[in-house]
Amino acid sequence: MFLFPQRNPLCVWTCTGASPADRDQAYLPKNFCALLKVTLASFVEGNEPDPSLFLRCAQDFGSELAPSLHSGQAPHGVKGQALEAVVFLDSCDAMRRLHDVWRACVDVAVLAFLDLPRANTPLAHDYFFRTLQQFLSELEKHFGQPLTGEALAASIRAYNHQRSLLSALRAGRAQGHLGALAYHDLCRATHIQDPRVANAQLEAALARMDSNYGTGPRLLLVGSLFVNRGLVALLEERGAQIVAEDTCADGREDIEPVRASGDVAHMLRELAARYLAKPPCPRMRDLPRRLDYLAHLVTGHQVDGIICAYFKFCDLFLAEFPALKALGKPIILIEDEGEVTLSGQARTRVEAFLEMLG
Amino acid sequence: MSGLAHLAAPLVRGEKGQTLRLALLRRMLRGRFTLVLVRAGAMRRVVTRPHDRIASDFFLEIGRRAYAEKKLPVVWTSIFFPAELLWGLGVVPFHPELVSAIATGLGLSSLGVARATETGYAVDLCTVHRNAMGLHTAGFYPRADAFVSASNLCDVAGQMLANLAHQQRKPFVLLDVPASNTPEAVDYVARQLEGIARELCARLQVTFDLDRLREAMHLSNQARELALQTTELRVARPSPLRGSNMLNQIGFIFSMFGSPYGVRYYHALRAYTQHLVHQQTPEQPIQRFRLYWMHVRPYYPADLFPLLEDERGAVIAFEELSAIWWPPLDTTRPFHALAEKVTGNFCSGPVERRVQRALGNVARFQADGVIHFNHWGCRQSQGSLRVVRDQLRRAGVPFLPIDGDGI
Ligand code: SF4
Ligand code: SF4
Repeated sequence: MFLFPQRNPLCVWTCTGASPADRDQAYLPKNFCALLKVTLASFVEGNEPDPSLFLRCAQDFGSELAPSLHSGQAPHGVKGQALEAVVFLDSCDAMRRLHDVWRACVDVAVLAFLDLPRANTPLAHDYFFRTLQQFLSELEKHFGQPLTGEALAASIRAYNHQRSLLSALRAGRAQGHLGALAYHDLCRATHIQDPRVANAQLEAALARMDSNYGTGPRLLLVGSLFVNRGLVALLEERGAQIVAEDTCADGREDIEPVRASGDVAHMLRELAARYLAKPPCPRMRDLPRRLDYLAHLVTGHQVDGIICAYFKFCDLFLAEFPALKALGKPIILIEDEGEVTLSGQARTRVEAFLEMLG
Repeated sequence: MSGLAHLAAPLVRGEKGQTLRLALLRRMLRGRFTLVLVRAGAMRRVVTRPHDRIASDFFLEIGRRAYAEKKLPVVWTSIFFPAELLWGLGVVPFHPELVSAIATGLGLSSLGVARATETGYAVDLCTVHRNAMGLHTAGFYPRADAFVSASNLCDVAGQMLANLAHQQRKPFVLLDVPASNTPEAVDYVARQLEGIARELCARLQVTFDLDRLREAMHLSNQARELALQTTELRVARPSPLRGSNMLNQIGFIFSMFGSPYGVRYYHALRAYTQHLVHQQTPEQPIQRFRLYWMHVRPYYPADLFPLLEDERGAVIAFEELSAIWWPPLDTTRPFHALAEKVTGNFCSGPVERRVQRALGNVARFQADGVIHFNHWGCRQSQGSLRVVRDQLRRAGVPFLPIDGDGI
């Protein structure tokens, strides 16, 4: 969706990434979020960044206006184009500090740093609405044109549709009609493509669903932005069934449809309220609601075991981990170093876990 | 803190067998008269500086109310939540992070950290919190009637307190502090603070008394003024105070302000400092270099300080975490004033605020260099260390990061 046509990509920041990194060590401490280290490395090394290192660009800005913790995704067409600017969200201590380091070490301007409330209350909705409004005026200044209600409504409708398609595909995966890896790739692709292109792919995949996958243990995957592709591949290879996932890219993005009506301000209010009402991640420190949500996934999908695959040094998720034992299912914590593939040690632990689940 | 460490060390060392010792300590903490006896007896002999005695009194008093008495609700709070509000509500604030540091001085951190690991807390998390969690599991922390946390500056604090609240089926309230300190952000925090005050009162069956809150803020303002005067006295050459003794100020600034102890403590500290300045009798006799210290310290007895201060003659002239950054609290707009204080913390928000503060203090205290203690696991303080280092070095300030673990 082109909210602001004829411009280069402008990215919304996120947790994302996955490429080997060493030189980031010079900029960030070694015991720092593995995800952000690899992300920064791809910029400071002067490589052309992998599109999967980006969040949604302003042209399809969002989801809609991308107001979620890790929402955002690689902008389509970023490869080969110069980045104009990035936008950071106040997601966690690590992200705030990356914002500091970025401004000092990376030659791509920061357009804004957005406060993102940690509450789902009318007060927080209002604060977030005003943050988005302020941000929008900066975007309009940057792009030299106003955002029209029609453009925003079209974007909202496209993402509403995308979420319903993903939801149907997710149900297909849970019932064994769609491979976990195929679903994972489709889901990731939605974050790096124009939603109209991505939606067409999702519709095609939905029409193709018919095969049978996995008869092994039924798993819930929990992660921050997304889980390692190597882990998904291993689970599929071993016949395990991923019946539910709780990550920013899959599960927690599943919000109620946003009403695409009224003027821009009205839609911004809607977006603010909907995004803050998402299934909560640890950042919201709303443990009762989070455990209820996860318990609902566990019982609703008859989950046999839970795999928490967290980026190494991610405080928010690591500090919450012991509380998830209350879900009453066998649970394992895998720490992701941000590499593309799963480490040998992690593979062994996952295999032992699957064996234990039978 | 050092006072308490001295006090309890003989208790811990004197018994045979770790289990017995720990059981004894747990029991003593909850004994109705233990803390009173400790205060009356040993403390007077061990703690000599007047302000240290008041600090010990303060923590013993908190201990007495939280462990032995059952009169007032105990609210566990993260360090960055405004203490004035809790004093103003008439509850007992208990800071697990502070007590984690104190317990480290008492030699209890290996137990705390080990217990936390057993309960599933990853070894990469900050040891301040792991130690706190472990000591709680081991039965060394008092009861809790509610939990509150500010979200700024430390992601782990809120999560740990939320976990405990859930485990104990007690209320948990988060103060969501935006990274920016615009008027909108201040207003957002002020309205939350008002809501939190009312919610805590309702859930803890405490009456909200605006005059009591104003009184707490008034006490905070008095302590603030005295702390600022002490800071001014510390500009003197030679530096009147031994900096390693002042690296515990963070604990006082975040817990005492709003209580009468804050005023008494800073009154005594100012008088003591003034005396040293006038008499030209600094606590640290050999002073070759002046340092500005950033972030926390090792809370166990570390060789680092005798080496720095006595062998090398480097005096810590001032510490980043001893700074008073907020304006006097406007008691006619209590929630707004506290919101300004919280959002104005120079360690929050973009790192430039912290660098500017450091450069200002380096100039003001004529520091020859800066030491940054990189407490393992603290992402907020170390994440942008590279930027802090580069900007200080660019300004011609020698900068030494020291890796370590404070716990
Ligand atoms: S939430 Fe965790 S994974 Fe995401 S950026 Fe922060 S530390 Fe990294
Ligand atoms: S040292 Fe850092 S991570 Fe640890 S408690 Fe303090 S602010 Fe939090």
